[in-house]
Amino acid sequence: MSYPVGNIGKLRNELTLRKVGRYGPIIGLVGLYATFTLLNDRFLTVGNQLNVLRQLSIIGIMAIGVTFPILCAEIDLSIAQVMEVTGLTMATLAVGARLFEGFAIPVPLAILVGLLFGAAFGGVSGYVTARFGAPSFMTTLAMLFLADGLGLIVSGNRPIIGLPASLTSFGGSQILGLPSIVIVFLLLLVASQLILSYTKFGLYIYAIGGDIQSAKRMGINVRRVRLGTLVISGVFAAIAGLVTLGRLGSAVPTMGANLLLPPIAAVILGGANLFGGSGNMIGTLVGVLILGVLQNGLNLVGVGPSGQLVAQGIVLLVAVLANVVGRD
Amino acid sequence: MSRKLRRRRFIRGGAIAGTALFAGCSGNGGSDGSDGGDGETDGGSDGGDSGTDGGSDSGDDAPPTVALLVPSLEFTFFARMQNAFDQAMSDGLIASDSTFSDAGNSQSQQVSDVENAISNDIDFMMISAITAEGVISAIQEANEADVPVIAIDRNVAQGDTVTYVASDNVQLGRRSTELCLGFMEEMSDQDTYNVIQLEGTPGASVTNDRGEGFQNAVSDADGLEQLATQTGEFSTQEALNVMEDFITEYGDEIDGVFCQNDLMALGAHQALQSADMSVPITGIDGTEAWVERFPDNESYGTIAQLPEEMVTTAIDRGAAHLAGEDVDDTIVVEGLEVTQENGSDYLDQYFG
Repeated sequence: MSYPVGNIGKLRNELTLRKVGRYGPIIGLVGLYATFTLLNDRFLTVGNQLNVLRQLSIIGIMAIGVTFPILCAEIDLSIAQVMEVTGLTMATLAVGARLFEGFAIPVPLAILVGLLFGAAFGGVSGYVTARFGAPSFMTTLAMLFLADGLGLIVSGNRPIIGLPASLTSFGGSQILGLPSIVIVFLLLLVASQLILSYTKFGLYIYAIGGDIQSAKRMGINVRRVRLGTLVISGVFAAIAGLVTLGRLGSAVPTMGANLLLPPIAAVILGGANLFGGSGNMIGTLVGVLILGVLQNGLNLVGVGPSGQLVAQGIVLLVAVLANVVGRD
Repeated sequence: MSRKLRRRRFIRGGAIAGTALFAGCSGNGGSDGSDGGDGETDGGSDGGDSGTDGGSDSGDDAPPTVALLVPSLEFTFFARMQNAFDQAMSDGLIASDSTFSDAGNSQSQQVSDVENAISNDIDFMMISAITAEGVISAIQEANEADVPVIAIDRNVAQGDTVTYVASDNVQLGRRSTELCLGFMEEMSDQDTYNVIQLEGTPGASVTNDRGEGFQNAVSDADGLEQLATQTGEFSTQEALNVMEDFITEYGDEIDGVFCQNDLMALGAHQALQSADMSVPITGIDGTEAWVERFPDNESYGTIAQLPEEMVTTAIDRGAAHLAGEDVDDTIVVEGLEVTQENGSDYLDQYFG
């Protein structure tokens, strides 16, 4: 009441639709938290919030990985299947079952093989994209089919149980009361933001995503950077496969099902431009949180399957609208 | 220069070939998804012998020449059908020139398979259609050629069939729920038991049927209450997420969990174990990895589907039809109740 009139006018100037839109994702997230806290008294408990983090970690790790190609104006459609095939490979190698019947190898070696396998998928699609200029939409789609088929071959299309504890500890144990899967997710998030902000590679990604011609003229090795982003995305998918083994306690041949679009949606929800050049890891975290909190909250409130889909559609539309309004 | 041109041509040619290939793949993917049924929810094994005790020789002369057509051996369910088919052949129930066709999830391939089978001069045909609608014209061709058709596991939309041999998903849902109730009664003596249902993919006919069975069981049994129901998309991971949320919301109120397939039961088990809760869980299908959990958990169970039984029943009924007997329009193959007691026998028999 006691504010001078001039100040309110200034405030109004600052609170334009555009500026609100810039913080759209965060406002949306806060709104979701407020709504669910009002609707359900168990929502804002420490236990449930840990649950939310645990549930979104797999999608989160894949979202961090796919943020790199997206910032570079590329896309990786193979993340879900690469996650599946690398997870299955680590499990079968560590147990010595199915395709690798009798060829059990030590767990650290199995993990290394899995991560390299993930890098190889990104490497192949990245090489074809960067060297020959084929759209990553198609090259990674090819990897999607390839990885899907290899996953069936490796696992014999049957779940694998009895995984060694050292393999499942990355996704299924507790460290200082925190789920290890959440720690892995947050560490990767911080490391990735540091790469984006403080390395040449990170800055090149933005430059290429913003304007590939200018980036070329500036002498940036465009090929190497484009290849690099897809390799990173493949490795992150493999890490997601590793932690999934711990989370499920087993390796299931269908564990990648329905996991392609949520990570990509999370990146865009967090404010990244689908056509490259802008966005960051904090945005990706916010996007992942929106998806995770929404699902968890709707489950707690007791909304049925059809209602959940309707609610998700509405929230996604509003969130992405807020993004676009905030951008230009 | 010319080298570069040649290379460009090669790449372009490769790209066109790739596109054509991809177009083929994506077409089939669609038809597969629309059916999202039994095969997909089945995660068992491809090894093992079949139980061929259901068949009886009704033909006195030479065994009939038959054809068995399945959508895709990618699914364990149909691989087990193939084993049963091979077993029947070596047992002499069907002639040695009988044929088995895997359509590799391609609708057009399955239509060609039907046409090949007809021209092979077979006595009758057993088919599990990729989609009920996709084989209509092929079934009509078979009708015109007077080849009897038996639908197995998945029905056909039109055309004359001798019979339809399959599991009854409503019954499977009901029996699994009742099995769960039995476990809950053994565990504690209460007036009402609160059960949670994890459903399959929304809209799939399997989901609707198994859900109907669950609802029937809940409304018929006194003292059985549905605490909550939610989709787990037939996936272990989704089921795990949903179950964690239900534990947060309902905690100790949960007396039992019914899952519409065994992969989701694995997820529910993982969530309850992390929360240090011991609660009865039942599933449907008889997936190997789920049954392998039974030795440590006496209140876990499933109603197993038996593809081997479907094949032997279909062969038996086909032979009966040839001998001039009347055959029922639909034949339900009862699921097998698997618990800790018979779990290892079940694994030995079907996955050994």
